[in-house]
Parts: sequence; structure tokens; C-alpha cells
Amino acid sequence: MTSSGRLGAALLVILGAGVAALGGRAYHLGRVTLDGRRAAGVARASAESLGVRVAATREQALVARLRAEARALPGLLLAVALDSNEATLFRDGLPLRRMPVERATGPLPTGAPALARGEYVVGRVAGPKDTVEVPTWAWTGRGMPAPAERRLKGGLGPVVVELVDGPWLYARHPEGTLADSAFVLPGALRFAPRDLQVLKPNLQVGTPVYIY
Amino acid sequence: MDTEPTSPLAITAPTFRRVALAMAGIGLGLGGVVAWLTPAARAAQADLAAAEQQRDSVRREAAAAGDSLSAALAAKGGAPGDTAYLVVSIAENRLWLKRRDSVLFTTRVATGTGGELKRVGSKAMWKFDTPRGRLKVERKDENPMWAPPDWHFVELAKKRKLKLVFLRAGMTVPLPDGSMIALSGNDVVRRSPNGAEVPYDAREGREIIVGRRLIVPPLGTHQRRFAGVLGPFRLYLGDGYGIHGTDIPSSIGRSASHGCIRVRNEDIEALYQLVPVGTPVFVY
Repeated sequence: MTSSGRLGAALLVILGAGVAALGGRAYHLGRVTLDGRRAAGVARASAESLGVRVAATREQALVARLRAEARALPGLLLAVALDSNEATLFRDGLPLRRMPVERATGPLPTGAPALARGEYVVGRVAGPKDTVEVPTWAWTGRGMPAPAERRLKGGLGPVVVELVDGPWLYARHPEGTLADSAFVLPGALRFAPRDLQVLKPNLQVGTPVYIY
Repeated sequence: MDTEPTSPLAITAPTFRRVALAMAGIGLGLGGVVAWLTPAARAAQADLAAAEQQRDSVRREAAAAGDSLSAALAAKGGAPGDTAYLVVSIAENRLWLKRRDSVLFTTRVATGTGGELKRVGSKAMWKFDTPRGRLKVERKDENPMWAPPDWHFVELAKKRKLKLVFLRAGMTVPLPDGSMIALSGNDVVRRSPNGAEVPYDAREGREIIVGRRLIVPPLGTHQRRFAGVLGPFRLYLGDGYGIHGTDIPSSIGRSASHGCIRVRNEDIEALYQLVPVGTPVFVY
């Protein structure tokens, strides 16, 4: 073999090794990219699934905390369990009276607040002669136009309990704005009229109301 | 012609050039792929690291949420105690004896009328409400005597248009026949001119009335202790209030009392047996 032939062969070997190394590196990087993306997808899906479970656990923890507090707090309070649609009047943690409640289901009409779990206090107990500003969704929720004047005497019935930054507690009406027994005002809790009458003298401004 | 034998490794210049060019081309191509894959691989690694970090953070949140759930579940107040308690609904005139969520006994009651009474010529005023809130059975009385409060006489005087005379020690009320009403020890007596004393037999519906005057015996006298009015038993709740029987069974189920919780006599017998001293009484 001539010296130029040997040099050529050596160069070819070096070039071949370089190409092989580049090929190996490219293969490795390709695997890393694919594996990394796949693993990231798995990790993200796992985080999302965990996130859903965290949200559910948080909700459960909130319900459990509110339920425990309602039973541990001294004095009189009203507790409403949304899962069982039941209100209970407690004093010193002991149940005095259990009452069924109803709440709106389905999509909320525009402007209507969602019924949120939490601790509230009574802000006002209105009677039949007291003026109450009836929310627009009392009409729009049934596909009717809301009237211009919505400040009505006894507008939410003979007894309505307003919670501070919270829902209304009202009762089914025999007549008036909410006489439709099939319609429950969104963002409110509807009681049987008798139950709300019984509660009325017991609920004072500041009485705690737990909704869980 | 004598030619040098050709080695298998010997490459001619044109072949070498072709092979070298091909390999350089492959090398450049692969170099380009590597150059293109390197940032992609780095991005994928960073993506994975971020996703893993997110998962770890959510795991920590899950652990925290789980801890707060456990804490909330372990919190006091999961279930009411084993103590039996009485519940009275004023609006419904009903009483329940409960333990946990079980009703051990229930019956109708009479509670306060919510009415008001004012004594003419005085600032004295009474409101006949049954007090809401938490009370307790302070003691249990058998055959309780009723010492009628002043309002009983004020109410009777108003109803029958009588003048009230509150009898006090040393005071006498002359009677048309020459005798007089006076206090003698723990009795309100009719004292004859010869000094003979006969205690009055006073009870509900048979108060001491002289002409248009209603004589109010002082507290502590036998004439201000009426038997039978409160039935056979009383669960005393303090401050003058109690759960007791009645001599007016027709009043049960109505807002008819002066603040006490009346039940039928057979019901107070049962409650007397069932309810120990110290039992909480919740009125709403």
C-alpha cells in the first residue's frame, strides 16, 4: 500500500468514527428529548390529577372543619348541611331542631351568586312590613324581565334572614314575587314557612350561621 | 507490464474523494441534527424538571390538605354527648327529651302568653314570656306548692275590678261584723273582737276578698301557698320558672302560661322519673 493510500484509509477511519459518534449523540439526544417530553407529560397529568384530589380534599376539610365548629361553638347557631339539604338549630353543640332546606340547582342566572360554604352571621331579620331589595334574578332566573322597582315590602316573604355577605334564608310564599314553588331563588336557601317562623325570634343580628 | 499489486485498503484518489465527501456530508448532517436536538433535549429536560416540581408542590399541598382534613375530623364536636337534654319549642308548644339524635319522650306543653301586665298606680310591670336559652333542672319537687307572685293578685284584681290590699305585719283590715283580718305568725287570720283567731283557707280561686278589696297575703304565709296548682311534680329551672303539671289541662298545647312550662300531670310524672337534676333544658 502506498503512503497516500494508508493516509486515505486512516482519514476514512477517523471520519467514520466521527460520523458514528455524531450518530450516537443524535440518537441519545433524540431519546432524551422524547423521554423527557413523555415523562413531563406524565408528571403534569399526575400533578393535575393530584390537584383535583387536593381541591376535593380541601372542600372536604372545609366541610369537616365547619361541621366540627358548628358542634363545638357555645351558644345558639344555625348550621346548614348542603350535602343533605338540612338545617339544624344548635345550642351548645346539641341539635334542637332539624329542618329541610332547598337550594337552586343548574346554571346560575346572570349576576346570581353561587351558594358558598363558609361561616356567616345574621345581618338582618326582616318581617312582612320590611322593605327588601329583591334581586333581578328572582325574575330573570325564570325568563321574566325584572321590574324597575325591586325594593318591595315583604319582597322575599313574611320572614327573610339576611346573612352578612352571604345568602338569604327565606321561605316558600303563598303569594308575591316568589310564589312559584318550583323556583328556588339562586344563591339563597329556602325553608318551610313554619320553620322560618319558628327560627325568627331565635335569630338575632350576629347569630352565627354555618353553611357546609 | 508489471504493476504493483493493489491492496484491499488501498484507495484511489477519486474513490477517496467520493467516500470522504459522502462521510463529510453524513457528518455535517448528523452534526446539524445534534445541534438541533441539543436545545430540544435541554427544553425537554427543563420541562420535565418543571413538571416534577409542580407534581411535588401539589403533593405537598395534598399532604397539607389531608392534614387539615384529619385535623378537622379529629376536632371536638363530632357528635353530641351522651347526656339527655330537654328541648322546648315555644312556637310549637312542644317538649322533647332527647339523647344524641334520638327522641326519648315528647309531649305538648303550654308556654308563656307573651302578654304584659301593668299594675295600676305603680311602675310594676310583668311580661309573661318563657325565657329562651339554656336552663337546667336545678331541683325536683314533689307536690310543689305554688307561692303566687304579686302578678297573680294584680291580674285577679284587674279581672274582677278589685282594689289590692297588701297585708303587712301589724296591719289589720276591719270587717263589717267587727272582726278584722290580721297576721298571726305564718297565717292570715280572722280575729274576732274576743281575740279568737281563725286562719283563712285560701287557695287558687278562693283568695281572700272582702267587699271590693282583694287581700294579698305576705309571701311565706300559709295563705300564699296554693296546693295542686302545679300538679304532682315540678322540675325547677331557677328564677321562678319550672316545668310542672297543671290543674287546667285544657291549657296544654297553647301559649297560656305566665312563663312556666306546663305539661299534663301524667307527663310530669314521666318526666320526673326520666330527668335527673342537672339536665340541660334548651328553650327556643
